[in-house]
Order: sequence, then C-alpha cells, then structure tokens
Amino acid sequence: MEWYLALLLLLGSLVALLLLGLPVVFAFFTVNLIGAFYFLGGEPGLSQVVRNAVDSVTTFSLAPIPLFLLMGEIMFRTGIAQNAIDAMDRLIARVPGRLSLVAIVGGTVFSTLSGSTLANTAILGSTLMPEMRKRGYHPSIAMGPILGTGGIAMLIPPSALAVILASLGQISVADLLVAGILPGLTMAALFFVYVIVRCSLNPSLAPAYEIAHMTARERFLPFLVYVVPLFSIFVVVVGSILAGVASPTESAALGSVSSLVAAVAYRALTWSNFMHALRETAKISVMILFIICASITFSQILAFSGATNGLLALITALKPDPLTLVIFMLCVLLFLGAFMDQLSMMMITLPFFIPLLNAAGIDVVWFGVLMLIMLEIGFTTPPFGLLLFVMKGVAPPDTTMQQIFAAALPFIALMLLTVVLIMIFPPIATWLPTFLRV
Amino acid sequence: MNGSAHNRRQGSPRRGIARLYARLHDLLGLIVAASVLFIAIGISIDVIVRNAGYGVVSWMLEATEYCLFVATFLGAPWVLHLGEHVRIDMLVNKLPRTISRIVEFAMDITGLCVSVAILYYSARVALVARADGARVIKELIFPEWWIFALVAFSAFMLCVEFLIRLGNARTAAPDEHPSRQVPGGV
Repeated sequence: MEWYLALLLLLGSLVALLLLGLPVVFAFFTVNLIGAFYFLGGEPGLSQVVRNAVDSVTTFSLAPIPLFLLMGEIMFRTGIAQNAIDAMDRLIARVPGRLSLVAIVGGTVFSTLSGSTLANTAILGSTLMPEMRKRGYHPSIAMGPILGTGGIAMLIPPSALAVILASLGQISVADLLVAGILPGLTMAALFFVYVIVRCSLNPSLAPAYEIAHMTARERFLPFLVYVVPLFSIFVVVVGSILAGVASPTESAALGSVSSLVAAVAYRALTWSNFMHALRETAKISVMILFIICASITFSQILAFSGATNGLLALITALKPDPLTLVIFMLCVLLFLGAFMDQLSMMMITLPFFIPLLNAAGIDVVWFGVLMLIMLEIGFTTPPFGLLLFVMKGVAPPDTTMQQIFAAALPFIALMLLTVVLIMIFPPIATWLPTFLRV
Repeated sequence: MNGSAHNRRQGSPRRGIARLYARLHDLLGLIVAASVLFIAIGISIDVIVRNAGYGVVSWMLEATEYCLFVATFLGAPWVLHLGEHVRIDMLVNKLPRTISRIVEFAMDITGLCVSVAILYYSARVALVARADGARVIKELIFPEWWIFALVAFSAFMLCVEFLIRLGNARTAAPDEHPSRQVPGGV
C-alpha cells in the first residue's frame, strides 16, 4: 500500500472514530488492531499489539504522571492550596484588578506545587470566583486570569504534561521541566501587566473596594506560615534533580511524599481527603496511561506502514526553512487543539514532529516549550476546551460558555505572544537548562 | 403467583450480583490507588537509602514498572465503569437524539469488539507463554503468562462493562446513555 493511502487509512479512521465519540483509547486500539492485521502480518501482528501495549506502560519514566497528579490532588483536597491563596490575598494591596492579580500570583505559586492544570483552575476558580462576583468584577477580568494561569501551571515544574511530552518525544525530562520556568514567569508577567493596564483604563471592570485594615503581622504572618514552607516542595522537586540527588522520575516521588508531609504538618490530612486525593489521582492516571498504552503502538504501526517516512520525505523534499516548519507545526497544534485533547494531539503529531525537528536541526527542548503552550491553548479553545468546562463548573450558575470563552480570549492572545517572544528570543526557553547543565 | 414476590425473588439475585460487581470495581480502584501510593513511597525510600549510602533497593525500579502496568490494566475497566475514559462528544451531542443513540450504540459495539479481540489475543499469548514455560528474568523472576493473564482479565472486564452499557442503552431513555456522562478531555 502506498504511504499516503496508509496514512489516510490510519489517521482517517482514527479521526472518524474520535469524532463519533468512541473513547480515545478504544479509537486508538481499534485502528491499532486493523493496522496490525494489515501491516504487521495478520494474526502475529495482533499478538504483537498485546505485547506492545504491555511494554509501553511498563516504563519507569511514566511514573511522574501519577506522582505529579498526586501532589496537586493532595494540595487541593486538603485545603493547603486554599490557605496559601488566602495568604497571598492579604499581601496584595489596593491595586487595579486586585483579585485578578491574586489569581495570577496565586496560580503561579500553586504551579510550583502542582503538576496538574485542572487542579490549578479548579482551586483558583472555587476560591476566588465567589469573592470576585461579590465585589462586582466583570466576568472577563474575573475568569480570564484563572483560565490563563493553567498555561503557567503547564510550564512551571512540576508539570505532568511536560513529563509526558518529554517521555513520548524522547526529550530530556529534566531539560524540558527546567526550560519551562522562564517562559512560565514571562507569561505570568504579561498577564499581570495586562490586568493592571486594562483595569486602570476601565476601572468598572474591577471596582475598587476597601480592604480591611491589617497590621503587618496579620498581613505577612499567613504568608510565612502557609506559603513559604510550601516552597520547600518545589525545592525538593527541582533541587533534587539539579543537585543530582534524584532523577526527574524520582523527584516526582519525593515531591508527592513532601506534599503528604506538608499536609500532615498543617494537620490538614484526614483519611477522607487522603482517599479522595488518591482516588482522583488513580482515575486520571489510568485514563492517561491507558491512552499512552494504545497510542505508542499506533506510532509504531504508522512507522511500519511507511506513512511516517513517506510524509517526512515529502516535507523534506519541500525544503521548508526551520522557522516555516515550526510555524506550520504550531498551526497544526492550534487547529487540533480546537477539537482534541492534549494526549491525543501529542500522540498523533509527535511521531511526525520529532523526526522533522531532528532533520531540520531544531532544538527539541525549545520546541517542547512552544508545544506545551500550544497544548495549553488547546485546553482553552472551544468546543473541546476542558478548562472552559472546569470553569463552568466552578463559576456562578448563570455564567454562559460564551462569557467564559470571551474571558479567556485575551489570555490566549497573551499565550500566543509568549510563543512569539520565545521564537524571537529562544534563550527564554533554552538559557536556564544550558546554564544549569554547565 | 404473587407478582411482586416473584419480582423480589428475581430481583434479589440480580441486585446481589450488581452489588458484587460494584464491589469488584471498588477493589480494582483500590488496587490502583495502592499502586500509586506504593510508587510514591517506594521510590522515595529508595532515593533516601541510596543517598544515605546504604546501597540501592535493586527491585524498586522494576516494581514501579509493574505497578504502572497493573494500575493501567486493572484500572481501565474501573475507569470505564465510572464513565471517565476521555472522549470527544461534540459531534454526537449535536446529532438528533435517535441518530446519536444509534451512533452511541455502534461505538459501544466497537468497544466491545476491540475488547473481545484483546481478550482473545492476550489469552492466546498467555497460553503460549505458559506452554513454553517462558519466564521474565530480571531482578524479579516470575512466569511470563502472569502478565498476559492480567491483560486478559482486564479485557474480560472491559467486555462485561461494554455489554452492560449496551444493555442499559437499549432500555434507558435517550439522555441516560452511560457514555453521555463521560467528560471530554484530560
């Protein structure tokens, strides 16, 4: 079979099954079974699918997925994250869009403690939305920053998605985790400036209100008690990697145990919230690992059918310059993000992207950071933007999806601006990993 | 014969089986949760022991890998039972009710066929491995068929779950199809 027919058969049937609503993992398995029968020699190929499925998840490097998720869940379910956000709320004085700034700062800090974008949005939404509503904040300036901080959570380590991307793309996990820090902070700074400028120009978006007078002790003590100690978790995760004490996988384990220790130290851990955190972690982890299990085989069948090489040869023959190639790839991600989840996007695109990047001599860590941001944008674009649904779940009942998306739009634009900045100034992403490696 | 007494007699064993089935899924969920906890604590202990200069827990890496494997395959039917496997439902939700029910039914049939195929081939690989006396020989040594038997068990549970969904979909009102409750996204 010609490579383009193989590509059409495999990708076409996959997309058709996905759009018809078959769970992603079963869509991959269906195509795998058909592909294995056709391209891997009939029945022996089908047995091979089973063997590949086992091998694909029996991999140590996938362990950070449940571990980083566990960190976020423990923070979320025990109320530690909420206390930290309350403490930061006291620190920020009367500035335009005060509560939106609390969301950005709180979201950035929580990003260093959680590997889950969903946990980030859920905790910030449920904590700050009622207060914003009470203070008469316009939905656009109330929900936008909360949705936007999801992108920061995805970039700043620990990040479960960065680990998945690195593992699947054969990129150094440590490099990609560290490379996300400066872009994450850049994005936070852009959000911060945007909120201040917009609320200064139009104060009715975030009406000023009197803040109860607090002594210095009342203002700063909660920060010292509820936030500063939590940075030790970030230090454990990132520090243990940089100090060579632990591998990225091991650092995830240390991080999740540290968050448990923190919950015990704050006397916030109960049997009920512990089991709830474990159960949620287990559920999301299984969902992700089972998809990985199916989709790795899909990549192998794509390669075996000749589809990967055929497409690569075609694109290479076109001789695109590296910048055009990267822009093309980012556009593909932006398009797919509108109707596909992040895992499926990675699974479908990485088998093509990584060889293309290597052939064009493009830094895969740098591209990994760009890809993470595009994946996050996909998380926030309708109709398949899960963060929009999470926000709908925590927003007041009369909030419409249109309002939520309108609120997210400026922050999506700022994420795209971050992408442009990283493309113009690659050291934003590449300097820190290089510096720390030296 | 008294109709309600007859129904009670018929309903009682069914309810008992349903309860047992629900408990089995709870157990699967518990095994997954325990695996995650084991990975977190086990790896941490290994790192601490290694950096303290007391050597390495040599089997920890492998144990973690098998925990991931066990969690994935035992957890898959549990997550399907909960209706939490990620799916893209934007098109199906836009279709007229009758057509969307037919599509949902067809997708459940597809899921069932895939699960049956995985069950058949994993059982076959397990039987061949058992007949050959194949063993996994790394730090931990055990018969290879154990691995594929677990995959077969997982696939069997997936088959049962899809059959239940098909049964429920046949009798349920249009909006109550089990897969309608499945959220989209990771």
